[in-house]
This record gives sequence, structure tokens and C-alpha cells, in this order.
Amino acid sequence: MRRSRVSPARSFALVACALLAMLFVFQTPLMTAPAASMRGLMAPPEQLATSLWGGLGQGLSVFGDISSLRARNRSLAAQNQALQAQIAGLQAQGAENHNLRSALNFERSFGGAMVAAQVIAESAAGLDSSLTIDRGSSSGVAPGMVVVTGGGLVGIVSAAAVASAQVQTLADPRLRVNAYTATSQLNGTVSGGPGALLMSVIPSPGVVARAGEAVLTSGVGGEFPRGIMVGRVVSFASRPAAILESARLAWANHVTQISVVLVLTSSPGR
Amino acid sequence: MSVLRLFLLFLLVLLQVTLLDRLPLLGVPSAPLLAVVVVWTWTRGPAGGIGAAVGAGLLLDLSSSAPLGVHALALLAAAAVAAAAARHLTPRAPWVALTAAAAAAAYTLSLALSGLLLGWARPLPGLVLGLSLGAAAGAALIAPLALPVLGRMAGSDRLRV
Repeated sequence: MRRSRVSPARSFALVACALLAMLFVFQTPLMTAPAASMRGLMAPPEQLATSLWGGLGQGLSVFGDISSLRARNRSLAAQNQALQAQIAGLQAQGAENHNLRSALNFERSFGGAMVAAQVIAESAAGLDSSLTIDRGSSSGVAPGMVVVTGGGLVGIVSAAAVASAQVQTLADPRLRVNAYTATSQLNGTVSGGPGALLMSVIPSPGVVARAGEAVLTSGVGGEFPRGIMVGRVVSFASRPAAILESARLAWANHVTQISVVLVLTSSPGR
Repeated sequence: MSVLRLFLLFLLVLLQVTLLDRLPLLGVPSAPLLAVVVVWTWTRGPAGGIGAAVGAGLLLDLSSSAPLGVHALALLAAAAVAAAAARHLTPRAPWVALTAAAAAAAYTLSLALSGLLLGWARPLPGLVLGLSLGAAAGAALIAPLALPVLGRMAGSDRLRV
């Protein structure tokens, strides 16, 4: 066996130093655009692989009804999600006495332009919970745009290449969304997480959020348009004289189950 | 590293980010890739391990929203653990499984540390622990299975499962 002149420990240290240097170089604003372009290079093979798995799954369905049952299950789950979102919209309409956007009829009531995109990859880190979609700047997608499904809010576009974009989802603990409860009208901020979402609620004397109550974006801050379904209250913790109360929410979506999303490329309020 | 081996790594990364990460049971982040990098390091030595870790890591970086280089660094940490273990242990399945588990922990901790320092993730202790355990279990299960395959590819006759 040929012996290397550099010891293994030194080799690892040298490569680690080189990677650290690259990491810091790509952290500079100057490298944002090149990094997005480089990420865009992965989109075509990811798209191809996603189509391939889809085709393969359909091919295997010849040997059983698993694929069709799964599709049926997905369709029913989507219908269920959409119906729940519709109920949330109706609850909010009753409370606010004006036309609140229903997630089911999102496109009609939203009034803004949107682009449909397919999820082609998911982050493998498990820490950032991001998705890659097959639409980018060539389709009008840009960083900061809101991403939804028929069921509700997914997240925001964090980076866009020409033909693909990265979406920071609500499962990412760094994402914050100003929201309100549809019936009890409590305002607060929802923070993401790998499990249930957490909502810090501004207390209102004598008002509590009930389990199952819908939570929608409030539009405060301007990052997310008002009225997009975020999730449902699972539990509400009310403490006397607390500065903030908290509620645990079940997200209207789940990262691994999202296959098609809508990117809001413009909104009426913007 | 030959073009064929690089292409195989590329296919594995594609499989990981487009299919395996979306399956509920096999969705342990990067476990198959981790296992391959560990076994690759064991069968081809530190230089091969560094090549596999950097190649697969950079491809993973391009498929995620994390800063470019964090996955490569994390896989390099895993390869370093594997290289250290390979110097002192015989390449038998139990040792390879244990090494893969330790490498998976190093990988997850490295990612969490970079997330904390660079602000690209919020590594809550419970989340990091869960991911570490999941990746360790996944890599420990897969690595002994990958050992005979990659060992044969490496032409190493000293590997026994």
C-alpha cells in the first residue's frame, strides 16, 4: 500500500480548515447570488429523481393497490385539510364580520398572483426543515415570498435560483409568524418546531383559546398576508398575571407530506 | 476518487434528499449516507473517507438551505471518527456498527454546533438528542450491511462480517 506523506490527522485538519474557510466566504453577502445559482444546479437531477420515484411507485402499483390507496388517502387527507381550513375561515368570518380568506378557496379570495410548484427535495439535516421546489426566479419566485398549500401556511422562500427555490418551513424553529385565534380573537406569535408549534399569546382577561380552534395569520408585520390558516389549538396554558400565555398548535401541514405548494408572488395588500 | 465513485455518491445523495428523507420510517436524516461514509473510510482509508465526506457533504449542502460547507464539515467529522476507529479495531460488523453510531453522533453534533454558531438552525437540546439517537441507530443498522458491498468494491480481502 502506498503511504501518504501527510498523516491522516493532519489531512483531516487541513480539509476541515479549507471547508471552514469556504463556509465563511459563502456567508458573505457577495456570495449569496453565486450560492443560489450553485444550488439551482441540483434542481434538474432532483426533479428527475422525484419523477422517477413517482413513476416507479405507479409501476409497482400493478402488483397491488397500495399506490392507488395511498393516492386516495392523500386525496381524502387533502379534502379533510381543506374542509377544516374552510371551517376556520367561516369561524373567522363570524367573528370579524368581513370576508376572511378561506384556505380551500385560497386563490379566489386571496386575489393575488401565485405560482404552483412541486416539492423536489427535502433538507437532510433535520435541523433546518427546508424544502426545495421546482420553481425559481424565472417563474417570479423571490426570497421572502409566502408559501402555502390548500391546507394552510407552509413557510417562506429563503433563497431562489433560476429554476428552483428553497423554502424555510414552519417546522423550522427560527421562523416566527404573527397570528390570531379565529374564535377567541387572541393575538400572538407562532414559532416553529419539529413537533407541535408554539404560540405565545398576548393575554386578554377572561378569554381562553379552546382546543380545536383555528389559528390564522394576523398580517401584523406585513411578512404574511392576513387570514392564512396556520394550525389548530391543541392545548392552551393560562396563568394568572402572566405576561404571555402559551398555546400548543397542530400545524395544518407536515413537511414530509407536502408535495405541491403555492408561492404567493404578489398579494393585494402589498 | 474516480468519476464512477463520485457518480455513485451523487446518486446516493439524490436518493437521500428526494426519497429517503420523505419516508416516515427511513427518514432518519442522512443515515444511509453516514453509513456509507463510515464504511468507505474503513475500506479505503482516511484519504478515501475525506473524499467521500467532502463530496457527499457538498452535494447535501447544495440540496439544503444550510450554508455551503456545513454538511461537508459534519460528514468529515464522521469520517474522522471512522478513520480513528479503523486504526484500532478489526473490520467486523459489531465494531463497524458501533463506529457508525459514534460517527452519527459526531455528525449531528457538528451540524448542531454550526447551526448554533452561524445561526442557520436553532438546535434545541431535545431535537439534537432525538436526531443523534435516530441517526446513530440508522447508521448502526445500515453500516454492517454496506460493509460487504463496499468492501468488495474496494477489493479488500481483510474484511469479514
